[in-house]
Amino acid sequence: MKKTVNVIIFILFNALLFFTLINLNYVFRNKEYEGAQDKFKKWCPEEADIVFVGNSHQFCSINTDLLYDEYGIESFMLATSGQTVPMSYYAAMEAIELKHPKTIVFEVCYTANDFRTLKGMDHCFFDGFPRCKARKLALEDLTEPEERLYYLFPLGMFHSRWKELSEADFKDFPISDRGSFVSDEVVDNYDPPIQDPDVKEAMPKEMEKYMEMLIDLCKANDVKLILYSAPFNGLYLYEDYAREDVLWRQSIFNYVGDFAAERGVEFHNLFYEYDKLGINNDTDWMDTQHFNRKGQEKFTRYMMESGYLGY
Amino acid sequence: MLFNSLSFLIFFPICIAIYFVVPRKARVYWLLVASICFYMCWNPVYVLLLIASIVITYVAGRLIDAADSRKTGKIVLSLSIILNFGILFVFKYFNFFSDTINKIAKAHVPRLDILLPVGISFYTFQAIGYVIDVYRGEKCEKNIAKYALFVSFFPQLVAGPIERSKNLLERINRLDKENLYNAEDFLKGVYTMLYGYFMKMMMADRLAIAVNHVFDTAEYSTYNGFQLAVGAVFFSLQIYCDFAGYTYIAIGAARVMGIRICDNFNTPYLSVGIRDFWDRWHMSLTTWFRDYLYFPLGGSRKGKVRKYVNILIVFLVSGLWHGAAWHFVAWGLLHGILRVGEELISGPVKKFFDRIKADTTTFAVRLLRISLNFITVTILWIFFRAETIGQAVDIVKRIFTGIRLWQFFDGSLLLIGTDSKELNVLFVCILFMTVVDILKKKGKDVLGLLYGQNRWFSFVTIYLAIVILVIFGVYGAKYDASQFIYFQF
Repeated sequence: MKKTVNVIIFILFNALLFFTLINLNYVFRNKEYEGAQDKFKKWCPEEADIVFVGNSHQFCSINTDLLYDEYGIESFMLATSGQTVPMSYYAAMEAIELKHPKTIVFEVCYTANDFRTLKGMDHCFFDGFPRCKARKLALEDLTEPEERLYYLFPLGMFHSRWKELSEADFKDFPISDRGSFVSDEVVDNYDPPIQDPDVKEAMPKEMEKYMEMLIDLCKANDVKLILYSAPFNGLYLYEDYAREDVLWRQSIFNYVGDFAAERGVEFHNLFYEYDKLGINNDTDWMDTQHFNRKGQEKFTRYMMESGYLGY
Repeated sequence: MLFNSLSFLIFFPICIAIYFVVPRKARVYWLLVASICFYMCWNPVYVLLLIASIVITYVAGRLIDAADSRKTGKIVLSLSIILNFGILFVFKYFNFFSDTINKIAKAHVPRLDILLPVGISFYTFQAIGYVIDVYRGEKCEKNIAKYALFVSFFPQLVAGPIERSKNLLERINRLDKENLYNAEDFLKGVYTMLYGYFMKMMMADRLAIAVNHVFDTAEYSTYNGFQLAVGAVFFSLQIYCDFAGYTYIAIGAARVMGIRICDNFNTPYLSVGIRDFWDRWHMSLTTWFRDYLYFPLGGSRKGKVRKYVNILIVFLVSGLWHGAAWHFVAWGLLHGILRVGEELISGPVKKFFDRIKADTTTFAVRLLRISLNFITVTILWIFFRAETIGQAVDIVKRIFTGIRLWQFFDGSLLLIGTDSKELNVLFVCILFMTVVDILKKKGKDVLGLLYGQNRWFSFVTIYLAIVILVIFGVYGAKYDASQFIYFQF
């Protein structure tokens, strides 16, 4: 009898500890811009019309709730902060594996950056990644074995946040069930500089490789792939190099356009349509690079009404 | 494999689970395999040194046991000591030796490009202690697996306590005859381990952030006297929490398996003098030096002058044991000088207080003595922590000439790499540790008190302890997990 009680206590103890650690894992995660991965499996409809992948430029540009409310499009925003091209490739793989959408839309901002992951921000992508084959492959491909534990058990990394915990940490992620992130912050901005369409610069080789893989993946699974670039300004608006950086990125987007055309993939460079978007630089930006709620709504409607999202 | 690493948190439950289920006869072999694997996790090649030490001392023990004369035994003992210390010298002291020769004689003795094997000072001393014990008539272990486990037993392999054969080997010998473990040992072992993790993860590694800030910079001179003094006090606490924390984890891990290993710390910072301090600090090393160095040198049997010389020799060697550098030697020697000084003035001081009929047993006097001793030990720790003797002297000078009253209030404390929230956690931890130490010094059985409660109490306390460690402990990717300080020795 005593032995049985001890065994029951042992099991109870471990169950309680496990439950506590899982919950602490959630509480301690840095929730800013996070949650898309956590909500994807539960909330993204089966065979959704569209799944969006990419980085913050993607989730600040498209409002999936608006797509549903105004156009009846079933979509999910799987873009996460700092999501690099290789990560977007695995996000697309995850979307196809778990929900098999009709269309995947990729915002190409990071095709200019030659990095596979962004340390720290990659937790936005990995922490809530549902258990599936894509997750396993992404972890194996993009993380070092000695770091992998911190993607499986983020508390090991974030526990030192006890000093900064707030009410928001104990609540749901600050995104909608369709993965939409909206900001009501407002900053003044200027029209972004526009590059000559004939100025082109090749993508970094590694990014080109993953772009090829993304295109092949979509083709192999009969999923339509659409690429676009959302307009933005330099992070440090008044510095010359910020302007140069935006122009340089556009020269790569121009190359991406050719790259996509050669492979029969749609690409829309919205820098060249900035005047038509109806963006008000005084009211529609949350910072110099990302749209706020108003800008996002205008941009989403424009994308839909131009048929750039395939509907 | 560090005790506060994930690999140990996986290794240990698997190790004890198998230990509990394998037949008694296989337990020694299983623990031996686990111990060797534990060591090999650090560096697989260097396990050969551990094996060499085991083989040399095992064979020496057998030969001494079988020797037909004391003289033969003495020759074997000497050879065994020379071989073991030879290995220790090559791997730990050769570069120190060559640097010193090159500096003094402007010679060109080459340096060896080798790593210091983890725990080499500990297992070498333990193995040599065994051979000397056999020479002195203690029982010789004939089963090489049991002997190998005695030297390599994983909880105390890399940072002690330095065990004696009559304690640990006796327990190991009973492993295949009876079940050493029971619920009481298991629970007390878990409590002890958790307290060790508390000292290591909540205190030592938190203190290390500030200490490294103050001491690891070439610009220590940019810190004011108050900051340097706080750095020194924090290092005093860090080295205690680090080493004692490790020891508690080791003792707890062994006790979970029903194997009791000796204590190594008995509230050292509540000691009232240098002698008292060394009776409470790293006790297994102190008694090792007493039994195998101080007594053979003559101890106190050959007159007062010889006794003081012997004390100085022991402390000098102790300093060198702690590290192959002159600042460690200076640290040891300073302790020796203070120890002799204490011996010299203790008689006259006692007479003086007796003459004026002062009661030296009051709380106030004891508190004063404890405080003075803590300040003294802290100042000496600066020699231990600094890079050179010159730097240590400079830091001490800056502390004594640079402290200004306003530095206590102008936020200087927050400019040594820590913040107010971390400091608050630290002060709560220091308070908790002090209470535990005071209870221990008063002879209260804290473990017994915890074990005496019902199961649900244990359930809740262990659960809360783990959750608190997980949240407030210093560990993880952002943190560069500091090695247990004593591993380098």
